[in-house]
Amino acid sequence: MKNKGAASLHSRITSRRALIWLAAVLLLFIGISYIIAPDTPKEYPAFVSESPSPTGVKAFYTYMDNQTGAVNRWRHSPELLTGRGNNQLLIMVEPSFTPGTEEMEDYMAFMESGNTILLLKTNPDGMFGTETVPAQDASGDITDQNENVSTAEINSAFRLNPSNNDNILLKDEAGAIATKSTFENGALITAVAPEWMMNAKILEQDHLELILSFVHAGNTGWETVYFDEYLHRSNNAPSLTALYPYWILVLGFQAVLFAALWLWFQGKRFGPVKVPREETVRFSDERIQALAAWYQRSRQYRDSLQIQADYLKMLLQERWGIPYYKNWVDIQEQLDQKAEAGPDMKNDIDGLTNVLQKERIDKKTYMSWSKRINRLRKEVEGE
Amino acid sequence: MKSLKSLWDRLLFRDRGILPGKRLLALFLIFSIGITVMAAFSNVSWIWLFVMNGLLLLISLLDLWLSPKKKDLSFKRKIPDALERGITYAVQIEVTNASNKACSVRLTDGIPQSFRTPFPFEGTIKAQETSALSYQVIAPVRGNYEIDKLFVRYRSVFGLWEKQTAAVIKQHVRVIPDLTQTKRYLESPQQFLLHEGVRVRKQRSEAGEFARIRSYAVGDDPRKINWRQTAKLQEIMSNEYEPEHGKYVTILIDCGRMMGAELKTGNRLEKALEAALTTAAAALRNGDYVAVLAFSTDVQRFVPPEKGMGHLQKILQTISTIHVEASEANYSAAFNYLSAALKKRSLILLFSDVQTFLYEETVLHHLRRMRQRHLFMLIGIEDKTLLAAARQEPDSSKIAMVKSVAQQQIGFKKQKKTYWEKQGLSMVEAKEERLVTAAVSHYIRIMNEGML
Repeated sequence: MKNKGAASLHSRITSRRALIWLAAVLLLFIGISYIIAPDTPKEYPAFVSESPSPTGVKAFYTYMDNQTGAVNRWRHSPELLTGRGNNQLLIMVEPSFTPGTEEMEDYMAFMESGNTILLLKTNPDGMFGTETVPAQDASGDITDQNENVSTAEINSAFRLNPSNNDNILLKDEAGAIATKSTFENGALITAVAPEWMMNAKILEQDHLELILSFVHAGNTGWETVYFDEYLHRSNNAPSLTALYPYWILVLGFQAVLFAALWLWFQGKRFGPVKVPREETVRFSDERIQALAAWYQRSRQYRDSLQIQADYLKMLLQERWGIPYYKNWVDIQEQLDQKAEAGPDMKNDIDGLTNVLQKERIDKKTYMSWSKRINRLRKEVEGE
Repeated sequence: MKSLKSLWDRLLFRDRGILPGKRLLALFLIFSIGITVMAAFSNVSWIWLFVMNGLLLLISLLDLWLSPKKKDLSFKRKIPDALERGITYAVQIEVTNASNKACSVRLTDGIPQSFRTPFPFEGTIKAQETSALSYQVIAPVRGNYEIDKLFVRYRSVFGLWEKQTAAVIKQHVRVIPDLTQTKRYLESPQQFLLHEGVRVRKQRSEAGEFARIRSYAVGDDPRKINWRQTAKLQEIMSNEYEPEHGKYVTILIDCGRMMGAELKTGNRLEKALEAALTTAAAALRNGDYVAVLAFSTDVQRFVPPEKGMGHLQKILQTISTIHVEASEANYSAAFNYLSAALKKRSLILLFSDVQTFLYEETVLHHLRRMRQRHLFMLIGIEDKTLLAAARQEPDSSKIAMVKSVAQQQIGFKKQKKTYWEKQGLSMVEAKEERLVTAAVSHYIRIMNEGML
């Protein structure tokens, strides 16, 4: 008993020591990997106002913040934008999805109450009724309303298709690049060049001037400038809810719950754990089956007939007392005396004698003689 | 992830746990349809939907909470220690319900997989009562088994949920050979043999030992008249003799490959075991010594010779766990072992497959030597498949081949049998259902004729 206690104590100590070693080694590995592994920059999605990466727009955000001090990020649904006063600017840089009808109406209500939205999107088709046309050859200088020429990079393969009420702010040879349209008290400024605002490119060419011209296009002193991050949320694409009617979604939800209950109901084990087990069945004819297969493969038709004839002879001895050792030819006489022996029997036995003397027997002969011997056997056995 | 898996494990695979009842499923289905219809015609929010679902589950769980606790139910199992193979037994489960609510239970017993039973079976236990439920069981495979758990499910008050629990009731069960024939023999040997149509022959007059003196009856051998007693009592008295007691009978059971061949019921080994046990019972009842040896490639079990009915139990226990081996029987090993173990002249009854035995060349040598000391007899089961194969219609060349091979085997067997019988070794082939009577009646004949 004492021994056992000591042993368990010992094992406990060793296990604890092993645990400490394990922890030490683990820490060492973490340390080494921290030192060795290169600093991988954090990944940001493009055109996000928090992103300091070359694709982000944090530079402009910070600039605006320093300039006006009234810059915010807008992360909520546009529902909440209404009734927040006027003289505000909402900057949407390359929204990752087109908002649904209800949201679109909310944004329009926001503009109608005296606010402005600056939309920078490579292809703003479908946003607030904007239409675009494909650009044939995108090159050349950019001119504004006052025919001032500036240089800028444009990657978009689309140009705006302005309606009659729209005011073209910028254009090149391919078409309108930026337009301004009014929504009651507010306005929408649309441009197809979101890349101008990118951290990497904002200071190149005339990008900053052009962007600032948009910002100041309607008003110089904005009360608040919002950067829309709501439309950058990746999972807010018009979801299933927009695709299917509400009642089908409810039905699906209930079906999932029901399926879970059903699985639980059906799947709960009731009874002992069953182990697959083997059962073997042996039949007593396996030996004769194997031998027969061998005979058949080697086409021992003659031997097989011989066996059947011998068996018949054995039956003749048992039933009719005709000696087994006698030849088929010698049997004839005794058969004549038997009343049971039919007239065919004699012919059959004659034929059998001939067949058995052959060297080779083909399958057809074999089958026909097997049948005849069987008939004789039945006769002898009195079936 | 791990906790989710363990939760899943607990929900589905543990012995204990809860599960939704059929009524809950039906209720939920109706509820779901109702909610869907509502959603189609009016504007219900997702939050409301979650709350309603949660509420339904909570209310249903109330039903679960009100149902009898697991510890309120206790179970007891009554199963015979020894089950005879292939015979139907009733197993009783006593359920005690200590709670003040009646509950309907479903039971699945954790009996060995080979047993045949109709599970699960159901019953209702009234509040604060003990009821006995029973189920039928048939055990088709011999051996020692352990029964461990009893699995129980019982419904909650409204049947919305079911609770599952497993009561641990450890019990050992032995499955022994079918002893119906042995019991019938022991009840009335004469009737058993007569019923089976075997006449017990009259013993030879000079054989046997003196048993008693009785009045002369017409037909008695005049040589048996006891003249001294006749003179004394003034009435003709004659001596009566009976077969000698205290002879040795050794039963050999082949557990080789061919003994596994299927018969109408069970396999050859099962039939051989039944016959061996009945013969052993007959011999022990006669006051003879009985030894039993089971062998395949090697000796598997050996029960040394002993007399008295108590010995039958020992034989039964020892040989009830033997099984058919995959290998061919090794007769030489068995005979070698036997010639060393047997000191006295004995009747050796071998239960085996005649065909296999005849193919064994070395056996003859052993038997010639054994014959000088012992009396040998082989008892086999007639091979019905072989006989049927020899008589089938040769419709295809394959069937004709099988037929001719079967005929060859029959011829070979007949030849060999005559040869061996000339050597003084008797061989009997009995039909499957008559094996037991054949073995017993041959034993009785040998004893009566005083051949040992």
